[in-house]
Amino acid sequence: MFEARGKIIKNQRLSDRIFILTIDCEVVAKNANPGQFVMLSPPKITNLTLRRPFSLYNVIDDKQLSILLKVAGKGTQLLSTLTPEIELSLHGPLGNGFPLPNPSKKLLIVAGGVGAAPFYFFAHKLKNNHIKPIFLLGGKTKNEIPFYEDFKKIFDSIFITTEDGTIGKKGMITDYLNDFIEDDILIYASGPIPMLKKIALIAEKNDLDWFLSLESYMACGVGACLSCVVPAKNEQQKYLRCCKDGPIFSGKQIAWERYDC
Amino acid sequence: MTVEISVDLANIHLSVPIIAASGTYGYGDEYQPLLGHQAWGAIITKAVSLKPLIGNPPPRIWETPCGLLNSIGLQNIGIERFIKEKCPIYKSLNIPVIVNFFGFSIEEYGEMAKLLDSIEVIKAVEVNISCPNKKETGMIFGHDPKLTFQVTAAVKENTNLPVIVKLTPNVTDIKNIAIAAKDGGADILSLVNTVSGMAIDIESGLPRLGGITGGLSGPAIKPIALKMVWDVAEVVDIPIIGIGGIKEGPDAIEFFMAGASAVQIGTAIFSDPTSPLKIKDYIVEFLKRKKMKSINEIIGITHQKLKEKMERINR
Repeated sequence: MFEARGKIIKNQRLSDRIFILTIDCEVVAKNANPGQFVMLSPPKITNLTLRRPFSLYNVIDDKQLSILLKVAGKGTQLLSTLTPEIELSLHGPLGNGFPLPNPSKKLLIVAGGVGAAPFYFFAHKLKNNHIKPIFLLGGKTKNEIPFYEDFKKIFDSIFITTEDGTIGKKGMITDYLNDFIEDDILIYASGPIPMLKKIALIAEKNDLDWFLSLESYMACGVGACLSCVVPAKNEQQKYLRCCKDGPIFSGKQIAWERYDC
Repeated sequence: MTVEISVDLANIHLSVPIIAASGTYGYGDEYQPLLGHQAWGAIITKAVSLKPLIGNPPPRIWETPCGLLNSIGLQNIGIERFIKEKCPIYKSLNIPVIVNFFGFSIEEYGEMAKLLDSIEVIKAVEVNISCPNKKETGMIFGHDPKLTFQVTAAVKENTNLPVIVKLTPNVTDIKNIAIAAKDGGADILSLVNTVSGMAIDIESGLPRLGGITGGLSGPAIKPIALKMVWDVAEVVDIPIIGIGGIKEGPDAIEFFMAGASAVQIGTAIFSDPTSPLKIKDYIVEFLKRKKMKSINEIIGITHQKLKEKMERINR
């Protein structure tokens, strides 16, 4: 991990609240793995106290990194207004990253909303390893998943749902999940907690291995402050640090019944 | 011209008068890959207790304007694992490591002090008195002068290490607590711990924090903390370490002027892990600009300046 300065290269507004921010930051970019994240400092931090964690959406030429940003509060609002040439502080890459799946297994990726972010970077790694997953993407409405075009280009097999039917099948992605379940299929997931909880039930019922990316309110991002903990199944260690023990976990590590959302 | 910014507090030599505050810096090893420990005069560990604690349910933090509410719930690995797993790391550090600890009874504080006394790599202890006396009334030790005295005395009896007592701001009159800690044998006082606070999610109607209430830190509490350092400096003659919302160089200077001999930086490292380095540089530049040779020239200077001003007016 590195403490670094990054320069904004591009800020693409994909829809009302969704942006892709591209940042020139070689030292972080070239050391990053899919599933890892960065902590971004809104510039001229006014009355904000914390950096914001973002999954790496992509790494370009080992020099630039991009993040998928959804305006949700003051920090993301500020970051969404950044224009090229502005510099900001960040540290990363942080966290553990996705394990490379066993190429002999069938891979199913399930993404909800901006939870899809780490899978774009991951897709490149899968491609390099000749792994061809089925990619399921769900959102509330088309405007909440405007990046689906990016994913269409990189995954051969893609299935989309929206709750209002503005694109893809109507409904939640988990409504259709059973159609894709096969014996011994491996699931990677990222998205809202209710979605992950439903996957947990399906994975348990079918005795499937699965991995997921979690997010949490974070302060340090390096495992020191113990702010971002998530409930762990292991009774000895009741909580796991999202930032350091994760953000990628095996589904079996998490005590879903204690996960409040 | 070189300026001297090192200070000696009790038997602790700090090459830089800036210390990593307990709780924000983990056990010290987590931040090491990011910056090393070059910025610090000393580091203070996350609070350790006799038995491991799992801490409070999440969410554990909530950001407020210029502040941070936390309710970690003193999660820690317990003294046994701390000694086995963390203390060996400290051998290779060339800065003093101070261990923050707490107990749930006066006896437990004494027992902890004894256990830490035997560990060579530890240069001092910081006693967290902001937790409840579970054995008796459940009252928070640091809220009561008598309990503060008893805890400090129990720690002092069981260790030869310098004893720092960390005071809570959530009291009616911090001066009485400071005097009690000093009378109990404290070598140094550090103040303040976080200020009690709360936030509510108006959509759900529920508290934002899993622990319901929490402790506020960050720039929001700086004026409160500064005033308490100012007050305590009036009534005790042992060194004070100032804590509370120090984010930039001028903040630290204010604390020195109010009477602190060193400062702790906590929440500021979250928004900028390099902030201690910047604060150090600012202190050096400030002293140069003021044509001063040593940090000692500004420690408590506001008390002196104010006295002089009052004398001029009353003449």
